[in-house]
Amino acid sequence: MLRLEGVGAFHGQARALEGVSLTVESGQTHALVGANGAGKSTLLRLLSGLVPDWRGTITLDGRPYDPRHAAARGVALVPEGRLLFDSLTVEENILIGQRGRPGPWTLAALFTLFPILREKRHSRPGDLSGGQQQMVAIARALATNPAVLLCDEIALGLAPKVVDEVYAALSQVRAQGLAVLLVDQDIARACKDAAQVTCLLKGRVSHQGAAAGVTAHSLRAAYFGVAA
Amino acid sequence: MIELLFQGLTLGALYGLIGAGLALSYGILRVVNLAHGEFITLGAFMAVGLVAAQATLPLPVVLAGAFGGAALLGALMQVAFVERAMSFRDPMVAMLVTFGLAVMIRNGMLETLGANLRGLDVGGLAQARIELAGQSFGLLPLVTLGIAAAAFAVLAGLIFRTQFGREVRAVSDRPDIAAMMGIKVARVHALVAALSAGLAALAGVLLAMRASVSPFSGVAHLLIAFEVVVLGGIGRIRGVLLAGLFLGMVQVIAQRIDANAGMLYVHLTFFLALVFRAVTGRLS
Repeated sequence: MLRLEGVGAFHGQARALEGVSLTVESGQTHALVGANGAGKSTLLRLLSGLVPDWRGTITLDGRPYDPRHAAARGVALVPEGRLLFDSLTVEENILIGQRGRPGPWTLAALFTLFPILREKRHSRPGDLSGGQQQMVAIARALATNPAVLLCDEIALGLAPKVVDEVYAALSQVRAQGLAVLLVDQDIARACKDAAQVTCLLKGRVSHQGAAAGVTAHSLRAAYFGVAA
Repeated sequence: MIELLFQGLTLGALYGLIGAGLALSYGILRVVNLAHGEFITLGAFMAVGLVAAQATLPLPVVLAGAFGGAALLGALMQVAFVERAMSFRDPMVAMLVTFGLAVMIRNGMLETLGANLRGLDVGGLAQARIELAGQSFGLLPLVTLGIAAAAFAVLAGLIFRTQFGREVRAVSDRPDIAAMMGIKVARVHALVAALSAGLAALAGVLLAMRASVSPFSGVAHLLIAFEVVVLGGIGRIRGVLLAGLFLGMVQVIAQRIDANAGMLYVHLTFFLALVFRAVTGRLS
């Protein structure tokens, strides 16, 4: 279980996050929504060790969590834009993740989760479709055998059928007991799979609660900061 | 004709090896290492020093000693100076640091060894010849070619077939994501710097077996290394080898035409290749 209490972050002089508290339970998805610039990606990057200037308290499974040791502690990011290693093949991208933590996500298990990647194992990311690249990004993160999976804009730019495949894979991942913190512009889609939802507005939590029944309309006030 | 081809291959493989370390340094660390030529010279002097201390040392031990010594120094310099300079956004900072290190290494060699030309005494190997398929080949060029080819094969295997090589390429592509995946980026940088310096030293030993070197030889070696890397493609091991072979062949053929102007034709060929790339829009 990942717990954040009063987390804040800065981009230079600008405050990007302030007083963010949330909990991501094992085996559940926690959806993180909000308008562009609300701080969603900053929060995921912070948890991955990519934002050095932050404050607050973060614990993972009850122990203090230092994001600089994300991989060793079992926190993995599927970054926005995928950011794959272009000079490595599909298989090599996945194998890069397989260092250190043992666990169920072996190369064979990941090829079972995404069968198309077995066919494309010797291809470079640049030769793959957007959906296939997203699968590589998820597989690379899972290869580290994480306890917490952070997914940033996981469906961005993908065809609806591919989005369904990606969410189906995430469902299987969750069934293994992983905690998933998910950012998606499609609120309805994200909340459909999530147990909890947190909405950020200008770096602060503007809504938090159960995801069941939440729609884009019901989140309008928290999302845009105007009266419903 | 076969003799000419053989000479070109030998010199070209050596030029490729001279460029390989620089290609690693720029392709992976993104640092234009102006101390690369000095590491070549340092490798030559380390070998000369080892043989002077113990004349019976076998060649593999001399090669390993020069490689190891230069690799250690390269890694130390990376950790102590270059890594910090790389944190600046302006790549000029790291380049200037390597320039300063080049001056220090050159003057260090000058102070301790003097300005005299020195070569590596390989004894009977220099004159020995063997018969292969009815042709007579010098044993020294064959050994040079073999060592350079083996170095390239090991380098390619290391970069493309091992977990270390995958980490090196990942760090080269996206250092921040590589760090997030748990790869120790500074450690990879130090190992690449060691490999680059070691390869330079290896080339230096092979050069010293053919001709004399002085503490001032580094600049000329650096120029060749730049030409090989620019022609072959930054960070491309196979391209660097092919560019080295091409320039080596050009030099050998040019020397047959004009014995004193071989190097001039190498530089001219490089210049024409750049002009060709500029005209065809492939300069970047």
